[in-house]
Amino acid sequence: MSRLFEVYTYRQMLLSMIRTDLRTRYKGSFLGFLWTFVNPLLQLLVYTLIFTQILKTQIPKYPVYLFVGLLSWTLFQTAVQTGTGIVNRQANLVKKIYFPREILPLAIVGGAAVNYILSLLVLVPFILLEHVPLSWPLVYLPVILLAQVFVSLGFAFVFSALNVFFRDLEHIIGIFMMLWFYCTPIVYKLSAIPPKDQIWLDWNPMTPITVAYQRIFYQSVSPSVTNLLLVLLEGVLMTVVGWAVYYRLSRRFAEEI
Amino acid sequence: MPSFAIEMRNVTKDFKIYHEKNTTLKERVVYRGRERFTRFRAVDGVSLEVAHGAVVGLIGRNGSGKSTLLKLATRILYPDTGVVRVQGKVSSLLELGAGFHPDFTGRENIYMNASIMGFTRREITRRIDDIVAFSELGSFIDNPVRGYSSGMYTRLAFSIAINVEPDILLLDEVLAVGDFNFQQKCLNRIREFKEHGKTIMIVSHDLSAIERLCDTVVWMDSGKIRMVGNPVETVRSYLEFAETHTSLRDIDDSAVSGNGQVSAAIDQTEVGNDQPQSSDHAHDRSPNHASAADSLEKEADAQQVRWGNKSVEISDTWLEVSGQRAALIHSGDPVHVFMSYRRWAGVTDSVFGIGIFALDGTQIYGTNTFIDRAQIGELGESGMIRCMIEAMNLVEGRYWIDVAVHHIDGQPYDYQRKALYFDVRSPIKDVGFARLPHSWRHESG
Repeated sequence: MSRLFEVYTYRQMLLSMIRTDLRTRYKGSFLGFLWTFVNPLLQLLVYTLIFTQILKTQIPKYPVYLFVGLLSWTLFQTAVQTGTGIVNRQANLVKKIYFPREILPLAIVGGAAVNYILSLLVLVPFILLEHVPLSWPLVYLPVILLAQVFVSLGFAFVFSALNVFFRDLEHIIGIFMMLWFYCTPIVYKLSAIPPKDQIWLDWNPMTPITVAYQRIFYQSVSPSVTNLLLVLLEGVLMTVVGWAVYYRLSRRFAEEI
Repeated sequence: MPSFAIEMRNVTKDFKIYHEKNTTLKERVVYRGRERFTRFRAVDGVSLEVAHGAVVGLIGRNGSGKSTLLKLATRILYPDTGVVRVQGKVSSLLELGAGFHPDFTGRENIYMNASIMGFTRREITRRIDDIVAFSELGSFIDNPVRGYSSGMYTRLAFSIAINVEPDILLLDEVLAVGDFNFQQKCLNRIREFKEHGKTIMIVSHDLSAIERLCDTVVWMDSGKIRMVGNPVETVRSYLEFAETHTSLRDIDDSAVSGNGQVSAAIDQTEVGNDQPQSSDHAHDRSPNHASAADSLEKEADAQQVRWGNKSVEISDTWLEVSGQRAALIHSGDPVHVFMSYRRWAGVTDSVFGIGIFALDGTQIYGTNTFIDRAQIGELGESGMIRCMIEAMNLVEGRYWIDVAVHHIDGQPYDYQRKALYFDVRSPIKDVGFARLPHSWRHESG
């Protein structure tokens, strides 16, 4: 609890780190901040080409279905993958200045979440252009997003702390995330997996999250409230455990990096 | 509320000095349990209490644990055993400009940097004008810091740390920033801080600054506190110790291979702090000075350092500048050399003398009461003789003083070679030994 309070007193640092991250990410490029919007669109284009032209998927309005999952995955992937290396990248700060170390992964996840919210500026017009109706189930969006932020935080805490002691993690995580991507119903529908095999995807907290997003944006129906609350609880638990692990390990950061 | 701003109880901190560090997974698995490292005790059972409003200086050789102690106080490092308690908001300056973003303007970096120290936007906005004014950056404040000179960079960093008004300010080797004027300004600001009852802890090799600013000086050696006390005495003891141990230190660093590696590694961790100003450090230069003078000094040391029949004994020798004992003198200061004596036998016509020497053994000046035809009269049981030097016009450097009392015919009562060492500091970097009073003029035509 006292950790929360201390982080709160450093809120300005958290905010300015998020802002710095967003401002400098595309620094020096011609399109600059526009890349926040162009990047997911190009990604969408590639996957759509592969899955409609080559693999002939049967999902109607496939680009919308795909885009919804892809954007939420981007949030998760950025949070975990860039989060993993964050303590090492900020070695200079960690070694020279005291601040609550939790700020570092928090800033990464926060930045990814802000980026997601900004990408809705592309998603919503895109959905409307494809004549998919948007309606009241959208009120669930904040809850889904919150659950996802908690899940992402849990992983970011643990991985970023471990990466200080095992640098390989940063490299392993890339391939691990690719596997994870295909274990999540983003390019395919969960119903495409035979029910007896679905158990293999149950461990994955990103599954109920992705499905919930797809339900509110693509199908315009409300998500399963039980599933949503379960994954929210799971996320909070992961964050608490991750935070504890991170805090414990953070005491040795300055001498290990 | 406990009455200490910083409280350390029996604090120990070990570092692992890796010969080959296994940080990748493969290495951890393959070389499991075979990591080669030496444990190095950087801080060894230190207990220290710093009262609210105290100004404490930490001195000691490189690798003596002063910076580690400071990092423990800021909670960058945590002790292996023992307790560190800190009361109040801490602003630390362990490295100038840590956390600056090169692409942001000076003003944006002020917000960034102060926010890293835990200040809110409103608090920063309230102080930003002071910070900008203090930094003397003028319109450059709205340029990216990428284009700053190193002087501007350090000025900005220092201005932030010193103007955010923390309760506790921790400074590591950052006093030597900017030009002379800016340094004076920083020192003044630190004094103001002191007057406002803030707590300050300074690590520095700039002993004269330490002596002037601090109430208490802590001398660290090999991770332990060797001496805590008033600045003049502690600095003086340290200087004397450093002088007699220069040769020892050389052995430490090169000859003994195991130890050598350790101290080399520790020096490296300090490089980050020392680098920007290293050329300014009198301390960094002193080993060179010393090694040049070493052979001569050893010869001198081999000679008897004190002789005479002790009919009269010089029991203590010290220097005073404006009524205060000092081991550091600013060039041009009026200095009084004191010799307290005890007379053990009946003597007449005693002569007291002093000699000032450079480290290489060159005598710079020598005189005595006979040469000067000074009337000191007959000696009592005990007393004090003082030689009042109107202006110690020596150039920057370290010197020693010989003192002596002898009979007028030359028979020595007590001759003390190297009775004390003192350092002279000067903003003017002239060369030689003595500054001859002078001025310049140009007459054209």
